[in-house]
Amino acid sequence: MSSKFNNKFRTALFKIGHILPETTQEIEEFDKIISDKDLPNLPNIFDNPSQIVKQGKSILKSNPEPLEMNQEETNKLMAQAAREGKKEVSQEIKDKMAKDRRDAKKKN
Amino acid sequence: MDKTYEDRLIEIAWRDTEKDLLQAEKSFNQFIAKYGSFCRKLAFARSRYDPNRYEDLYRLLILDIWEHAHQYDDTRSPDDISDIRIKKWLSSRMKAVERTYWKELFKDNNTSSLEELTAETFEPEQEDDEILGDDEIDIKRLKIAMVKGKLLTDRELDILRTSYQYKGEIPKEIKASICKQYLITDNTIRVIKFRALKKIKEFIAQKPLSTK
Repeated sequence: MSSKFNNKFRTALFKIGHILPETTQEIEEFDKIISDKDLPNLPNIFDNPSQIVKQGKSILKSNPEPLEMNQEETNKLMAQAAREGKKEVSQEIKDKMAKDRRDAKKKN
Repeated sequence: MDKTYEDRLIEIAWRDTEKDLLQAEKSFNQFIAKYGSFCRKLAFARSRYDPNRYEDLYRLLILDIWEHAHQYDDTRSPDDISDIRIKKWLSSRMKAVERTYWKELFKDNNTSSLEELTAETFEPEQEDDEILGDDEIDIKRLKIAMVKGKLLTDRELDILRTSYQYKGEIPKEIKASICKQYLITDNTIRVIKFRALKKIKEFIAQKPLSTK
């Protein structure tokens, strides 16, 4: 198991019905977490499972069109993560960045 | 003596002759009549707010049961009653189905490989448990936070849910498909997860407004 894995959060996600059950206890709880009335309706063909088998693997209904890349947002995200989630750069860091830029210019 | 649903799974797998095949189809329909609702719940848990994905996952699970019934092992989990054993097996098949789903979704899409997408990125410095802290997670607040469009973007929801389904490490083939789906890099997945966890932590920490 990865050291990055947080079991507490996994359990919390399970309790709100986002994670598949694994243990005996979770299997018993799962039926109560998601009730039949939560389930979206399906086309009539699903009433006949052997008909689904005869159809075989048909094309998926999910749309695989990828989203457009937003490089600017991605860069911002990376920078924010590097600052441990802080939205703004502190004055101290700004001063250090300015100094680094000046030092780099001098070297060139 | 009445047939058990474990007996029916054996019959589904046994399809040597025309007569066997007819019996297999009959047993299969009976099996799905009994466990179809549980299977739909499994598909729903992994496809929340996406009806197309729900239908795809359920269809793939039905096909998977037909194709892999021979792999059911009634000697596993001997302390469980057969109903629980079958449900555990179905849940494990749903995991396999989810991998198939992601692979199928991008099988014809070769526009960008992981290598092409990979760029220099920063690593989040905190582990998941450090972000979330030691406090109890408020389940009601988490439920609101995980509603599509409420707090997190679609990709944040997908990455968080997939990551925690697989004990913190998204399997390679799913990761590759997620990268293609959202045009992001392998490293960006970690950053997105990091940001999503931070958002959730902040959201849970906020006290809801009084209704007085």
